Amino acid sequence: MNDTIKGVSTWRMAGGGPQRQGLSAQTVSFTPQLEQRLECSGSATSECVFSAEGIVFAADRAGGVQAFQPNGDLIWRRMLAGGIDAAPALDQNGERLFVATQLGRVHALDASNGKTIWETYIPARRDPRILSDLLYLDKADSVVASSWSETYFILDGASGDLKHSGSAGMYPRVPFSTDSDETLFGIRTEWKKDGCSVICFKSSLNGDDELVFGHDMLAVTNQFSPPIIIDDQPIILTNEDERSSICLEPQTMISQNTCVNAPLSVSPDGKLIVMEMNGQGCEIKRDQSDIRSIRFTQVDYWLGGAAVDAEGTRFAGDPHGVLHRWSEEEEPKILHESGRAFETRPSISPDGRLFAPCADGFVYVFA
Amino acid sequence: MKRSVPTTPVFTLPRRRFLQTTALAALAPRGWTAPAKVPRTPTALATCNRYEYSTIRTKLAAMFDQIGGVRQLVKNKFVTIKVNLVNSPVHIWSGLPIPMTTVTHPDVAKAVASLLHEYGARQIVFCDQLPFDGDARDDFKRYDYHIEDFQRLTDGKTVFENTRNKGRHGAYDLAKVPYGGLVASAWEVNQSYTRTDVLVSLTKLKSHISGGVTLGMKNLFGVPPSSMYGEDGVDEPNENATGYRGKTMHQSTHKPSTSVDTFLGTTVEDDHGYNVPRFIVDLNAAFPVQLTVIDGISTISTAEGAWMNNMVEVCRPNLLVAGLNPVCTDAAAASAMGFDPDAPDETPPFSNGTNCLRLARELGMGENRLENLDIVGEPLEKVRYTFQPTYQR
Repeated sequence: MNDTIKGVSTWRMAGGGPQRQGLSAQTVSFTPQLEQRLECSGSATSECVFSAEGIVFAADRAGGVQAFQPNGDLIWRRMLAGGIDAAPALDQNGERLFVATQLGRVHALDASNGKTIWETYIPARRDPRILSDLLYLDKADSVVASSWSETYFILDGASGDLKHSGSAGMYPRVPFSTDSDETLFGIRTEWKKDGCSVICFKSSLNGDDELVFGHDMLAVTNQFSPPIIIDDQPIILTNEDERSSICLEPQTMISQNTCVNAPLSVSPDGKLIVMEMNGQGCEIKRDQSDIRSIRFTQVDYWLGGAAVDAEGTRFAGDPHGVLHRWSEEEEPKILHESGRAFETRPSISPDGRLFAPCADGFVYVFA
Repeated sequence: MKRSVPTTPVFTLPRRRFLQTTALAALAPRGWTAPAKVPRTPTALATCNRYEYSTIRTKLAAMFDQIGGVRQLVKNKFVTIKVNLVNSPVHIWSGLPIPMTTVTHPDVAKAVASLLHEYGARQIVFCDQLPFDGDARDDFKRYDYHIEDFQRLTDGKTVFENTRNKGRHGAYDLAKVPYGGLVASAWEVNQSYTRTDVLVSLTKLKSHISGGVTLGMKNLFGVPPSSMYGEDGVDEPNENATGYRGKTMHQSTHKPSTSVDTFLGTTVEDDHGYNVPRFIVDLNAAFPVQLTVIDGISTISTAEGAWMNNMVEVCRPNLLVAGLNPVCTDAAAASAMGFDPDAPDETPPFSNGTNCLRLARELGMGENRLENLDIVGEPLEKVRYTFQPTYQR
């Protein structure tokens, strides 16, 4: 186990990269000020992603996809049929932006001008929405999405052709993650005779799924958080009835007294950061030697997770429109009040600025 | 065997005169002509970031002033508030109490009650049919509605009533649909909905799998009592019934056990998207709502309740909506949700059937076209929160 976890240098998909750690290699100013607001076409509820040069890509629920220069100038705007909840993903060269809609289409857009390279429809029995944040695999040049057909799809990045599909279970909203070898990790909930089971499985790009570990439940509620991968090992979070469990490994579970809808994040020193539906937060060392409660005042619940910078400063926006900052040493402080809800995790640009999408249709930029 | 219930209610309050007046047009739809001018009243929109009684009260007071007429509407009047508490025993979902997700939050209800009391309401009766058979005050408490809080704010003038049966009244009333009804010609209901001067619809901002949106108009789906319309009241009337209206008003596989046959046989079996919007419109014609207030601070998207489980999720529009005409109010609210309130049938958000807002406009009940709506308060573009569409059944 490494002592220090290094975050992503370029935040190209939800959680920063395919390991979904929510950790950046950049440092945000400790007291960032609101620099500007980037205007989207509707409520912005998915994470922004960036090219290595700092081009900002923001999608919204009205179906708008926007590309902005690092200085905030609009480069292009594309309106797709169907709103967008799943965070887009950018390829390693910053050339193709992959976007999925609530109408079940996956689009590969030319990142320089927004024009369609290919688009494809993911079959759905009843509900075409794609809500799982997209995953892009560099080596395999593939995109992974899942839909309410309860199926996940691995699409060829160059053509959109289907490479492989498999069962995503009854909560296909949960995004996929990968380890450094691009082995896929997913979470699947299945009905069983006496209840249900939430399992973490891994899959090669064209092979059979393999059980990593499972957790039997009597009553299950919505699952949201993708596996986060640390040292190539998955850590999963599951919701059961009104409680949640963090499974560090098959035999090690930490039970929480509340549900969690926000994705997990990790700090550089390996603490898991959990934003809870009771409006509080907690941080857990992986060996459970240190569990810290994070007290937020007047937060009803958390929908978005935390973004963590290279110094370990944590940032998260709440549904009341308040952006918070805290660290290992410092209790939460209010950075900004926008007036409308933050429902997703902020992301950190390659030049160390913080981008917080907001339900009011703007992305708030702090530097 | 049908029970003996009054089919011609004894009207004692001004609201009934209003009902009788509108009933002048009580002809079958075939011979009925919608008014040339569709009613149109302002709808107020406001953002509100948290459930905090005093903040909500201040916001709503301003909104009531913006739409005008609320003070005069309730002064010295008996007011019935149909609150949206839904027929579900679930109290916690996704780690949150149900007022955060599915039902009208008690802080919004308290703010409305307090304002109507300040404006001079004589009595304020909160009603919904709840799937419990205890004392109504205990039933409401399951949704965090504590009678003592409301009594304190209204000087003891609040009553809670579980309208799953005839409740504290000795009998039911039959309320006719003025135009004869699309799917039901009349509704047999708890008298709290008929023996009153003012009917308020106090509801939650949500999508609905069958109705597209569930707002002030859809809230009246909770008016027909379980005792005759519920799953456990359809074979024969049952004052102990607590069931949901699936068989009668969704699947339409059963008729209710009302004292007279009021269902017209025009529903389509198992076609929720056809049946539900028509029941909504018929209910709103029979029970004209004079004030609608919509709690959109914290809710769920895609569908209407926690019982839809994996298809819904918590969302945070931070909105309040208020208006006098229920069609105009719902249309403005639907637009604030990012939807076209005049969208064609079987397109989002009315993905599974008929657009009930358009249906209501065509029957002359109110305006639903965005270009004709009068929106006051905060601008629509500023407050809009884009919902996910309902999924296709």
